[in-house]
Amino acid sequence: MSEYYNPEVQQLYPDTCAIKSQQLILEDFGIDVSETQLVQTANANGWYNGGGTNPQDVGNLLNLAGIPVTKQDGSVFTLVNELAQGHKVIVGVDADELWHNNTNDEKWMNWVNDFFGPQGGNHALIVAGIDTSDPNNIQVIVKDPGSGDDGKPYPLDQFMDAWSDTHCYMVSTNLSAPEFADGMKNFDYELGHLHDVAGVSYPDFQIFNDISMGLPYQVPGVDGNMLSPIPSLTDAFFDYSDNNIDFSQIFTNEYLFNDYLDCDIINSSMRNTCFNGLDNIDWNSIQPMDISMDNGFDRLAFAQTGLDYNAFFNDCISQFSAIGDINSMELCQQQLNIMDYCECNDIDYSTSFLTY
Amino acid sequence: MTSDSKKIRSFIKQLSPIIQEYGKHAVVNEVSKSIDRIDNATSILFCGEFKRGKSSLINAIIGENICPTDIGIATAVVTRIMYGSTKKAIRYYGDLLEGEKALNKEEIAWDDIQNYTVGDVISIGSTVQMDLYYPSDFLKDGIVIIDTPGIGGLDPRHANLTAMALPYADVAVFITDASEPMTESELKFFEKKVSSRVENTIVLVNKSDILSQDVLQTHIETTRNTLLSAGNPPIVAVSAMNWLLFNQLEDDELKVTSNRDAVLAAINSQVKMFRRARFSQFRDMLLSEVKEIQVAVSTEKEQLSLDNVAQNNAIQNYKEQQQKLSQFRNEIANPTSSIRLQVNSLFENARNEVNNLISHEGTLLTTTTFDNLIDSENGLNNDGKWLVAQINDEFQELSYNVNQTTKKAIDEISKTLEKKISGVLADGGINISDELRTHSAFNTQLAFNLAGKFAQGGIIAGALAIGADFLIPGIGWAVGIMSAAALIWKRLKQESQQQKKLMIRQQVLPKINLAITDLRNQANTQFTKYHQNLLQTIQIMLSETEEKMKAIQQSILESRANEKVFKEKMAALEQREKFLNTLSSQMKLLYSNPFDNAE
Repeated sequence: MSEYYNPEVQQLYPDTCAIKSQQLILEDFGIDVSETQLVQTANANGWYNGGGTNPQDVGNLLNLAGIPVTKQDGSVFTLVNELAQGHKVIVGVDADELWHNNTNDEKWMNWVNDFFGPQGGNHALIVAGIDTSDPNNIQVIVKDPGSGDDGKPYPLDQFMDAWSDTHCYMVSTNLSAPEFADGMKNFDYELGHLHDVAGVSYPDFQIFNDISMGLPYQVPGVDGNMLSPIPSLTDAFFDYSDNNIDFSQIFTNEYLFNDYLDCDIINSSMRNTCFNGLDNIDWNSIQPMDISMDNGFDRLAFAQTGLDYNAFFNDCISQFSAIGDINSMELCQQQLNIMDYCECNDIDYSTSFLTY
Repeated sequence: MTSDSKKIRSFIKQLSPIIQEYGKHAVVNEVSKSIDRIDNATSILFCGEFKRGKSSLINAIIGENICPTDIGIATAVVTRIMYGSTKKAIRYYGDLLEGEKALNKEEIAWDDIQNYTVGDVISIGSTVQMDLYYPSDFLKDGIVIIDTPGIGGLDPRHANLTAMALPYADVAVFITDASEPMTESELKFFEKKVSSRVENTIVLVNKSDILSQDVLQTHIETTRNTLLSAGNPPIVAVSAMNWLLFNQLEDDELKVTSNRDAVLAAINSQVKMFRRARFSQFRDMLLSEVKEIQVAVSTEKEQLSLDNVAQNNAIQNYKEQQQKLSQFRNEIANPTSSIRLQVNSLFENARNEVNNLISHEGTLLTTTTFDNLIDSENGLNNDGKWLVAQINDEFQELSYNVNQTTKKAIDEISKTLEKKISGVLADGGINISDELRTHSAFNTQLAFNLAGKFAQGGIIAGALAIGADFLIPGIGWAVGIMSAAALIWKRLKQESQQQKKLMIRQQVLPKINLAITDLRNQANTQFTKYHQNLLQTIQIMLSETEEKMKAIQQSILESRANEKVFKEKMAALEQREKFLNTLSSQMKLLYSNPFDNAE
C-alpha cells in the first residue's frame, strides 16, 4: 500500500471519484456529508447514473451546498492561480498515466492510448498543491480518491500528460477554503492570495497567467506531433523566477510560446490585471515625478499627460521602496511588465490598456 | 479530521481582532467559554429505574468496575465520571436541603468508593455526589458520564437526586431492560423528565442476552411504539453483562452479542449531534455578530463617503474661489485690465468734467454773469456789497457742483470696485467682501478727510455751511472775494456810477479770476490725492486677496490631507469588508448539510 494511502480519501465505489472529490472539498468547508448521501443526491439530480459523473456536472454538488465554482479548460498557470487564491481544485485526468506509468510497457500503452485509444479522461482528483522547491523537478501534489493517496506528488510532466487528456479541465471553488482546511493554516485571508508563487510576486505571476490564457491548447510540432506551448512559458517563468532573465526577455524567440500568442485574448485578460493593479496601488503616499497623486490615479488623465510611463513607474517603485510599501512596488513592476509585453508584441500600452 | 469545536474556534481566532475593535467581545467570550465547556465536559446522563443495570453498563463502557453493582444494593448518589490521567475520587456530602453550597467535599481512597455510594444516607456518610477521575479512552474526548440513582425504589431521596442531576444532561441515556415491557412509571418518567427536557436522548434495552433475537426484536418494536409519542428516540439493545465479559475475554462473539459497537456508535452519534447543534447555535451567534460588524463597516463606509463628498465639494469650492480670486488679483494688479481702465476712465472723466465746469462757470462769472449783476438795478447797491454777495452765492453754487461731480465719481468708482469684489466672492462663502468694502470705504473716507483737513487749513474754518464732506472748500473763496470788495468800497464812495462800475470791475474781476484758478488747482490737487488713495486701496485689496488665497490654499491642503486619510480608511474598510464577507460565507457553510433534503 502506498505510503500516502489514507482510507478517508479513498472512494467507496468504482465510479464516484468526482463525487468523493467533492465530498472531500465539502469536508474542507466544514460540511459533513457521507459519500453515499452525495451519490444519492447526484443520482436524484441526474449528475450520476452509475457510470460516473460527466465533466460538466463535476462541481454541481459543491454549488448545491452553496460553494460556487468555476469550470474551465485551464493550464498549469490557471491551476496555480486558483490554488494561490486558496480555492479548492478538482481536475479531470487520464488516471492510467498517473497510476500505471512506472514500467516501460505501461508508459508505451499510455502513449499508444493517447493516440489511438478513447480520447479524454477517466478520473477526477483534487490538486492539493504544487511543489516548486526544485524548479527542475516540479511536483504536483494530489489527493486522489481513486488510489486513496493523500498528498502524493507526481512530476509535473507526468501530471500534465494525464491532465492534458481532458484538455486540462478543471473545476475550482470561487470561495477560499477556511483556515481549518488542509493547507490553509497560514493563508492571508485579508490579502486574498499567496504573497508569491514560486519566488515570483503574485502580480508578476498574474501576467504569466494572463499570457497563458492566450495560448492554444496544442499546436502541430515540426515532426507532425502535437505539442503544447505552455511548457515553454513555464520555462520562461522559472528562468524569470531564478533571475536568469529580465521580464522582457521572456518574449524572445528562445521561448516557443511566443509563436502562438493570441494577443486579443491576452489583452482582454491582462486588462483586468492592469486595472485592478492600478486601483490597488497606494498612490496617496508618493509624488512620482513631482506629480501630486492626492486624487489617486486617473488612467485616462494619465494617458493625456504625455509622460514617459516607464520613467513614471520606475520613479513610483523607487519612492515605494523608500517607504517600504512592497505591495505597491510589486504592482508598479506589474505595470512595467505589461509595458514590456506591449512593446515586444507591438501593442500600444496607452490605447490598449490605459485608455481602453 | 478537524473537530467541530476546532473549526468554530478557527473562525473566532481569525475574527478576534475585529470583534475586539467593534466591542463584540462579551458575546464572543461567552461563546468561547461555552465551547470550552462542551469540549471538556459534555455530560451523558444515565438514568432509569433501579436495578436496570445502569452501573454495569457504565462499567462496561469505561472498561473498569467503577460503579458498585452488588446485587440487591442500589446506587444512592449521583456519580460524575470524567477523564483524569490518574484515578481520583472526591465525595460531596451534607444536607441537600441546605443547598448545594452547604455541601462539603473531600478526596477519598479509590477503594472506598463503594462505602460512600451504596446504602442508606447514614451509611454513606450523607454523600450526595461523587466525582471520579479515570483514564478511560471513552472519556478522553471531554465526555462526563453521570450515573444517577435508580428511580422507582423505596427511597424518595434517589428520585430527588436524579431529578436534580437531569438539567445537567447534554445527552440522556435511559436504561430499560428486556425482562419486561416498559412500565408505566418508566414511561411517565421518560416522557416527563427525560425526553421533554433533554433533546438528545437514547434508550438502551439492557439484558438483551436473556431473549432470543426474534423476541428481542419484538420487544424493541414494542418499546419503539411505546415511545413514538415521546420523541421517538433511537432504541438500541445491549447486554452489559456480555460487554463486561468481552472486556475481560475479548471474545468476538461476546462483542457481537453485547451489541457494544452499536451502543457506542449511538451514544457517539448523540454526542456529536448535541455538540454540533450547540456549535451551530454558536456559529449563528457569531454570524449575527459578524453581520452587525458588517453593517457597522458598511455604515462607516457610507459615512466616510458622505464626508468625502462634502470634502470634495469643499475642495471644489475652494478651487473655484481660488480661481476667481486669482483672476481678480490679476485684473486689479494689471493697469491695463478692463476694470482698471474703467476706473481710470471714470476718474479722468470726473476730472475733466470738474475742470470743464470750473472753466465754463468761471468764464460766465467774469463775463455775462458779472455784467448782468453790475448793470442790474441793484448792481451798485450798498456800496457794491450786494454785488460781492451775489458773486459769493455764485461761487458757492459752483463749489457745490464741483463737489457733487467729484462725489459722484468717487461713488461710481467705489461701486465699480465693490461690484467687482462681490462678483468674485458672491457665492464663495469667504467673507472678504466686507473687508474689502471696509477698506474701500475707509479710503474713500480718507479722501474726504484729507479734503476736510485742507479746508480747515484754509481761510475760513467755520464757514463750511454746505457740508464738511465736500471735497472742494469753495466757500472760502467767497469770503476772499468779500474781503477784496470791502477794500474797494472805501475808495468808491465819491466816484460816479460809471467810474464806480469801472473801478469795481477792475478790482473784482482779477480776484474772481484768481479764485477760479485756485478753485481749479484745488480740485486738481484733490483728484491727485484721491488717485493716490485709489492706488492705495487697490494695493490693500490685492494684499487682502492674496491673504485670502493663502488661507484657501491652506484649506485645500488640509482637505487633501483629510482626503488621503479618507482613502486609507476606505481601503482598510474595503479590505475588512472583503475579509468579513469571505469568513461569513465560510461560516454559513460550516456544519450545514443541504443534502439531507436535496433530492
